[in-house]
Amino acid sequence: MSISTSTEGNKQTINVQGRFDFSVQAEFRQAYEAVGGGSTFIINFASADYMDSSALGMLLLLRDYAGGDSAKIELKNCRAEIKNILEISNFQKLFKIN
Amino acid sequence: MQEKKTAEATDIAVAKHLFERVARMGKYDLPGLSQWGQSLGEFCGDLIMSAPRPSGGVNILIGDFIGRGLPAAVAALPVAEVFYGMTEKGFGLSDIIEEINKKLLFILPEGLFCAACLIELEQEGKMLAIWNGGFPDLLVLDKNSQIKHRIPSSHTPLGVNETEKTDLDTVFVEVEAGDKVFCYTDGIINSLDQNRGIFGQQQVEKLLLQDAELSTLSAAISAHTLNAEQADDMTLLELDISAIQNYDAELSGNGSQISFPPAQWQVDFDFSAEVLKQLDLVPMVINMLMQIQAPHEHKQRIYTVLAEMLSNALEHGVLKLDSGMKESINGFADYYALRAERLAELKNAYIKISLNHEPYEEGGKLLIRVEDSGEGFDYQRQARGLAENTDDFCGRGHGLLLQLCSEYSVSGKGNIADAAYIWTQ
Repeated sequence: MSISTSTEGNKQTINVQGRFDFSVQAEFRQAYEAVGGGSTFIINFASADYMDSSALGMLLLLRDYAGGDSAKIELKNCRAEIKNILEISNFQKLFKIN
Repeated sequence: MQEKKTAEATDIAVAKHLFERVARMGKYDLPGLSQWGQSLGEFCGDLIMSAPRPSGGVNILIGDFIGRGLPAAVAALPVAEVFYGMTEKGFGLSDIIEEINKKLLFILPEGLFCAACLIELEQEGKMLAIWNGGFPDLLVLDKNSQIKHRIPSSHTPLGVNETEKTDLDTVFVEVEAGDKVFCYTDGIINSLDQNRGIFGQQQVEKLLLQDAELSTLSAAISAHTLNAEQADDMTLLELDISAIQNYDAELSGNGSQISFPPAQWQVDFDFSAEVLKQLDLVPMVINMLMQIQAPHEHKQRIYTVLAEMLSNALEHGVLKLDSGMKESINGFADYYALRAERLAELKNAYIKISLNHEPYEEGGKLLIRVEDSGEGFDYQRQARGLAENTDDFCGRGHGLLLQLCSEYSVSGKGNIADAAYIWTQ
């Protein structure tokens, strides 16, 4: 299991562990669909080892779910290499990346 | 009679040796991890294990079997096997916890279980993931001996319940150089003095606030328990974040994977449909690559390059899936359902991977060629489309490849992809 969540009021934290790719797409979707699209989403990358373009796709779908341009999503604890991959795809324009 | 006694004594000595090697000492000597303990009998029901994670950072387990002596020692063996085996393979805490729980649930008799605290120190040592199941509050103290984080038990111990999703959630806390983590068994809190008075949680915390040192606390407990019979094993663990950060930096900094200067080598794979169905190629190839030659700090980027190239070959080349499907939430799920379906029925297909490495300037150049048995595609048309549509988030994989690699090209009928990845130490 590589996706775990914790809900705190209106804030849904999704922790990603290990590989963030298509193999966790169903779990990842369940994790955000468990709360309403108007929630604040924190994606915690502290334990994420790798990601690929299918993970980028999953993040974009979450963004749609959370209201597109009005989505409140923060990508937290990204390591340098993960950050690099997010920035290559210009995701800093779409998400708050820390 | 005497002979029998000697034989028994030898058995116990050997068993004790085995247990200590497995459960107490840890397979690795982790700098910054100090422990103190006292056990009642020959065997201690407490265990401490630590091992480095392949992608950086370390995993630590401290366990306390209810029930002690030999049964606890025997049950510690599978815990060690799972902990070390899965850590080495790169699994995260929640997977490890789930597996240990499953194993203990199966082997332990009713009434015997294991309170445990698992700690994962992330790469660069800035973040701790903690899972506390039945242990006293784990404390993180800063350099001024102030309590920075308190992580109470929020799970049932291992070997009690079937694992449910919520049981695996870990708590994340940020740490920095100078911080110390203290974790101790309830045997410490409940340790008795000669008048049967217990040491108590308050006393533990009072001492740590005065001086966050393992030796201070262990000396106080030794004094408290002097000449008093105890009811439980006692184990105390201190984690010095500065020391572990230095150790982790050393491990990843000196590139433990590189044992020789950048060299010329080549490996070729030819995977048939049978293999494609059953093997997850990317982790396998990347592990092999890292073992031959590749710098640790490029591992994630090389992983992404390989993952993109292989998923292109498999999903678009071999399985003929259309990535346009992935643009909606349902389409995304459908796409992967269809992927699984077509993969299961796959016959007469192949993916060939060729890795060619050569020394290049200060480091090396890795050439990756992936060829698939698919029909290919009109890559020249796609290239024109991408050039006109630079702000489009479609074709993300392609964008990643162009950015991460110094060269990337498609040839043949669109079924051969070549990438060059240049790394410096």
